[in-house]
Amino acid sequence: MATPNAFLPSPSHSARQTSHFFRSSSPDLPVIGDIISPGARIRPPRHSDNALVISSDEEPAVKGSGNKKQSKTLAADPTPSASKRSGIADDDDSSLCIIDPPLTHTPVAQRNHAAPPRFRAQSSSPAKDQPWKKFKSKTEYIKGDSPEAREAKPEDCGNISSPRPASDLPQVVGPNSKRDGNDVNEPLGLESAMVRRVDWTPPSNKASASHEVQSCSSLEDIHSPDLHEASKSFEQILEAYKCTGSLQQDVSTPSGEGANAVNALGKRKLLELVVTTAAPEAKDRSPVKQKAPRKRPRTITEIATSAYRVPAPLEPMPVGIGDSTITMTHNEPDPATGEESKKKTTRKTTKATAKKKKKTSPPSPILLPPAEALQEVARQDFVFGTSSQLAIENSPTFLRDLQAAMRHSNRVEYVDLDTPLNSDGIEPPERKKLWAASARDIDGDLFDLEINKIIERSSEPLPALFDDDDPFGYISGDKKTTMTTMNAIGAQTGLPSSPLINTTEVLSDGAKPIKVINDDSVLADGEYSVESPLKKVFNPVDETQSSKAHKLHDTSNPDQAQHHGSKPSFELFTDAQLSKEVASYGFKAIKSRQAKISLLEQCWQSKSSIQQPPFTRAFTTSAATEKSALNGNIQTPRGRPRKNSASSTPEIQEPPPSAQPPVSPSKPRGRPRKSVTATNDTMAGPSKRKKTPSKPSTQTPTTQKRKPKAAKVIVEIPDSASESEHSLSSDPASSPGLPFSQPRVDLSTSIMDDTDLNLSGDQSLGYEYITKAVQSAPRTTDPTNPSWHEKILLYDPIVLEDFTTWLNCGQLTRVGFDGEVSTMEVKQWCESKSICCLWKVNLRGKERKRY
Amino acid sequence: MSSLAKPLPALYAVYVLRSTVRSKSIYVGSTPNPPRRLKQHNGEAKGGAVRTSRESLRPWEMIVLVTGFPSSVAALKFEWALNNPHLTLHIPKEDRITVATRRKKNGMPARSPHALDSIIPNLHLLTSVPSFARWPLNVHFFSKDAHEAWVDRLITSKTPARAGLEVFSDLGASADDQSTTSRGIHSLPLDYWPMKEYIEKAHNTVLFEKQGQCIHCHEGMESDQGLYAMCPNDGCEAMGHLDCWSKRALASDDDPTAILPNSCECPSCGGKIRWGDMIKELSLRTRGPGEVEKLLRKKKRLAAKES
Repeated sequence: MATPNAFLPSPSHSARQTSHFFRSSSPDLPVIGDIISPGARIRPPRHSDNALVISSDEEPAVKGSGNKKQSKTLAADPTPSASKRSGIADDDDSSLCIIDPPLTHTPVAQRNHAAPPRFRAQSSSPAKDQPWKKFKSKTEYIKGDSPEAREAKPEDCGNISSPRPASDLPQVVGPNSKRDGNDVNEPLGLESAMVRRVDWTPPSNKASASHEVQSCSSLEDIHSPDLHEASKSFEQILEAYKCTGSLQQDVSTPSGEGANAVNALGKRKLLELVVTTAAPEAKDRSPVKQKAPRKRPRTITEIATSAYRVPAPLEPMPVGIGDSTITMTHNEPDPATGEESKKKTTRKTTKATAKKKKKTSPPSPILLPPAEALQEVARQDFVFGTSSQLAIENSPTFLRDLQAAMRHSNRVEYVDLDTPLNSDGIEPPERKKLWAASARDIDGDLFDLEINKIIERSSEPLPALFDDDDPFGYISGDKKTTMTTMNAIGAQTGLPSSPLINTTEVLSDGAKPIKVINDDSVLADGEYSVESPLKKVFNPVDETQSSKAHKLHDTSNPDQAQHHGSKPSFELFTDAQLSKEVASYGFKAIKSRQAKISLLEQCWQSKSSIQQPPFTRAFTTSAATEKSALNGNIQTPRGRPRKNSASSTPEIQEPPPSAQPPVSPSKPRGRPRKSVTATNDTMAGPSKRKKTPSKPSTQTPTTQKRKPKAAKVIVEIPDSASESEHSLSSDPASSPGLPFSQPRVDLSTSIMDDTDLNLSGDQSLGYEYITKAVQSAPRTTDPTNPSWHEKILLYDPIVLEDFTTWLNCGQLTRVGFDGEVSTMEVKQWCESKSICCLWKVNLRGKERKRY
Repeated sequence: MSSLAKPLPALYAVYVLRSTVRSKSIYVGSTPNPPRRLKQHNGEAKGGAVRTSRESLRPWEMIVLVTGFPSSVAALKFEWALNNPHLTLHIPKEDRITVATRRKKNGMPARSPHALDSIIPNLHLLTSVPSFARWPLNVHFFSKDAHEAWVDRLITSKTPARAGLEVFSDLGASADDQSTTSRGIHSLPLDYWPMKEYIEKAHNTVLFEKQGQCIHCHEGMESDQGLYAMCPNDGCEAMGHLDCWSKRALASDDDPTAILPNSCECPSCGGKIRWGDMIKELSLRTRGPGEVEKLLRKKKRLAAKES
């Protein structure tokens, strides 16, 4: 671990150095060699070592100079050091810090790059002073590698970072050795930043850098001998490398300059070289300053792109770059060569700076090609943005998770609601609105309970059921009706009808008449209509259920004709008889004979329905909630049906919910759609209830007031389409006997379809009453408030709701019509009379203000 | 409602608009002021209809006008029915001429574009439909081909125009000169001016409480104690209870179940009375005193000028 750790920091240094090398052109060669050859790998440790050693040596010197101190402090805290540094360099450092992680990721490559440059730079620096010193320094670096690398590295880094970043550009002029010392000081993390610093803020750095460089150079000089003494063997090794590196550098440097600096550095370097030549080392300081401003003109884009340019142009560059630069590079790699003597101070310094630059540029390789850079970026956690933005509130996935959770919870709710409701499982769960769902949910629970109860009851003998189920007193009435009917029937059929008929008997009777009715379909009660279809489905079930009921059915079949005859019997009754029977059921006296008959028939039907499970089933379903007509859903019985629970029981028993034909469980509670009703005949299935033309009338938008019976009687919604026509019969109002029943149906249904409004005799009868009521009303004594008749005569648009209310509030009764009319009936009446009528509420749901 | 009650409009018309450029382009609308509305459609005034806004189809002409609607509501009902003959419930199923063959995206049956040979029969049908049969409607034809289509319809349907429907034809006027205000749609009265004599007569009668006894039931008619209609015929001041009038009118009606009379015969003068005319005056007198005053004032001015 020690080595790698040491390497990690070292590479950063090396990177800086490498960057310098590239710039200088001379050091570049080793960089390439490092990258390519395994020897490069070996070098980096050396660099680190060297740096370490240097740092240790330098520290005292650094302490002497404030800049160095800063660098030391920086070295102690590599990253913070960058921040501490003032000026653009600091910023660069920060950026460098960001870059560092990639270095850590690819330490080897970085090391490779970094290592050679340092050697060269150091070598160059000593070369400036004395060629042998260079060797010494190299050896020293080598020495530091193994043991001290870790410790020294941070220091080195600190040293390096402080001077280099500030001085990179100026460094070009300044002595390489100084920079090396600086490099030593810098912290590891800062390395990459260094390169950028130089580029970014040449001027300010220059001043500081120059001082630093000088100090560094002195330090290096001091160090170099120490290092030399420390490790000669390393020196040899280094030399070998250097030679190779120099060769490589020749190629690389030109390429590096060509690529990186052709635009910026190459020409400038030439200029710098001249300057430096003019001025000795002492002048180096000044030239550094001067050069720095020259370099300033560099654009950010150049700097940014330079790193990437390096690799590609390396080969072609050497030619393009001025010879001087090349020579420089040559000189550097071979510090001892005679060429250096001339240029030693200036050029070397420049070279060193160039090297350093190039060394710094090698960090540019640290910048990595786009692909790798992207990868590294991906690895990094840093985020671009203001500090406030950087604050992490929630994980990015927070919202998604939250939404998902909400959805899930919602689904769960729906599921919960739906599943229990649809427990049958036959029908696919229909998603219900919350409103319906809630209702359903409640119903579902109760429903199940009821089912159980019902089943229990069903097991009981039917008569018991009747006894139990009179909560409304409704059943008793039914019994009576059955009684009466029985009597009537009895005469015809000769069936034994005791005054108090056994439930079984009653049932049989009821069944018979129903069937008869079905065949004839003359008086269409919902029940009757239901029977025919239901029988098919239910009969088998019925058989299983209760033997009695089954028997009754059987018996009823033959008797159907008789029963059929029995109904007409009502019509044959005298008014007095009818009134008696009506009174026997507990109803008020009814004036119209038609109404009496219809009422009696309904009573009769209700009895029969109770007796016969299938019928009852239809009853309960429709009547209770109208939710599920077909299934005879157990749920429906809940509300009112409990009274009828007895009747419902048989239903439940017969078809297990699953066995029953699938009906959409969700039936809208509200009014059935008018349009739906229109199609009723053709339509079969859940919509049937509404469909039945006669039935929909009950649900017509205007509140119909049913006969007193109506409340008690549960309106049945027949399951099958065929039943639909008669389905409403169960409803007293809708019963065939009532004149308006059919018109209601038509009206309700007709809205969408231009339904054929059959003005049957019943309708006309109802119309007659309305007309009579209107015309017989007293004329108004207030011209501004005309009577309805006068309004009609004045072509006033008639508000249907108001008019209907007026009719139902005693006017029809006054005329002798028992019952009430619905707004749809009134509408039909108006339209048949060319009376302009309209709803109180306009199509937008608002009460209209203008007529 | 009583407070909102308005007198019968002097004119409310449902019109059939046709492009003079492209005869297949037909538009159906309603308005109390056909000339103004026509200007709007032609872009001469503000507020046309989008369907008539295409410049290439202008100018438009009104080829058929149905007037006499007792209220704007009635006119709008009729307009809608005429625009949607495939949907309206006012047309019995067996009589329906136009049947939707397509459906819109929303599932509603789509109506086929208007054409003269479909709109005239529907017009004929709607005027005789129970819902509208007893309205005091008039049909005005301003186009020869429209009138021919009407005649053809009468022949093919073998049913005459319903009783009480007055049909006028002012052919050629529209094409020739629309500038003259006396022809075409411009000849239609937009106010109660044509009724001024009748209105004045009834107004004075009521004003001076000379109504006397109901001409039908011979009961006394106290002023402001009821609705008393007066015979519109010239010189006849027979007045009676509104319902008495209706009873008399319905007594001779061929439909015993009717409640709205088409017309009746004045027991006093023996002249024929159109129910709509009488109601128009009655409603104006009872509900539009301001209108009456304006009308009478105007008449006085004219009289003053003449003198």
